[in-house]
Amino acid sequence: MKKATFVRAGIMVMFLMLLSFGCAAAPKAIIPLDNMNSQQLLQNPPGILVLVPEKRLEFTERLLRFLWISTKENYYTFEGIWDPSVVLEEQWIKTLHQKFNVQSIPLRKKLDPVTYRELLTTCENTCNAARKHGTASNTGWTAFDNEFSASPPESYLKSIPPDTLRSMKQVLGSDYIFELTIGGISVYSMISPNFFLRVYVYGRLIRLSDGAVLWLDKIIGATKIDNLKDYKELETNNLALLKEHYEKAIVNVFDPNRKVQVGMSFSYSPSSFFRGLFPK
Amino acid sequence: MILVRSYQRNLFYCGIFVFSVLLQGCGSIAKEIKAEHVAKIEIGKSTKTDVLNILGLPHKRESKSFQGAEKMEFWIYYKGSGQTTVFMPTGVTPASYPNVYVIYFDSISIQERNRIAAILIFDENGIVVDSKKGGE
Repeated sequence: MKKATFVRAGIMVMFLMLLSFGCAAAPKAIIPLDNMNSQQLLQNPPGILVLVPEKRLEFTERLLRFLWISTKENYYTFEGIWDPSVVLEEQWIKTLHQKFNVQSIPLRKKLDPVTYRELLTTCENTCNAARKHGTASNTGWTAFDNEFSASPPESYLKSIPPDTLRSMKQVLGSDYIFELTIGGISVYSMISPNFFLRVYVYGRLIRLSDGAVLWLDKIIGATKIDNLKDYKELETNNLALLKEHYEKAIVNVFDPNRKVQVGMSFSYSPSSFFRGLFPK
Repeated sequence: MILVRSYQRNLFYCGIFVFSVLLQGCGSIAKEIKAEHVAKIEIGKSTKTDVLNILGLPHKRESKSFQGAEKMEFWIYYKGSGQTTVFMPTGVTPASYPNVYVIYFDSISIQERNRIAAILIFDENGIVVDSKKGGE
């Protein structure tokens, strides 16, 4: 009897050990940003890295026909043609400084072009491996909307970053990196001819020494495109109109009095990209 | 899902009809790549900016290197104005609710975009060195 109890206890201990081993191996990256880390951020300028894993523009228009709604979807690539990360990076640096008095260092300027390109490729590939590319649905959501509201982007944001990124600690002289991701750019009409340009932005603050994610959030920046008669108007003159509205949408991301698209209108939203970034 | 009582059904459909007719004027503004657009591109002369102004962003881009021709870039454009899906209200009377009419929306795929309209090939200086139209 005693022997049987002993064996059972042994099996239980082994089982618990296995379980605890599993827990130790599983990454648990999210920790809250406390006062100590906030002070560190203020004293040691964090790095900034902007990823563009989805180098496609989604153009979706909904056309009301006799008794049905027709949805047209087009995807255009801007890979090697236009780099939207620069505008987001500049706006993020400006906002961090003005809103939180945090100076920051873009890795684009800190690293040589080859190293920077390799780092970007690694991080974008890691991000893409975790993504679940959505498709437009019957409910009126676009493919990027569906991805935005699904769990994979959050799984990626919560995961421990690749070693290549964590090795930037020595280059930066700081233990922190803000990694922003442009998850998609969309030109969209709920019902034609009311068009909006929307940018899907994901962000996280990484502590490089242990890969912990101290803050994360996601937001859709939007702007209305007035009087768009032909899609090609956005692309003429080296994408001038597209770039202009993209910049407006990025400003909208950080605007404390931001408006969001609700159906065919554009109205005020109290939501902010900075929820929980710094403790009150 | 919208539940509509049987006696309101006709009124409901009339409403949809009037609303649809009012908005019939909303046409597509999607771009279509046509042969006359591609004809404006000059081989050995047109640049990426020229192509952007004439055809806009490509649907697909690929980079390839060959012996004697490194860093070639391919911009691929498809025919048509995009992939279309249709949301169509469909009426059903469920057996368990004899006096209730159910309107729901279903999706029908009516077109696939997989035919190439044009391929433009750029050299490493960003000059068009060749172009292929659909079917060539």
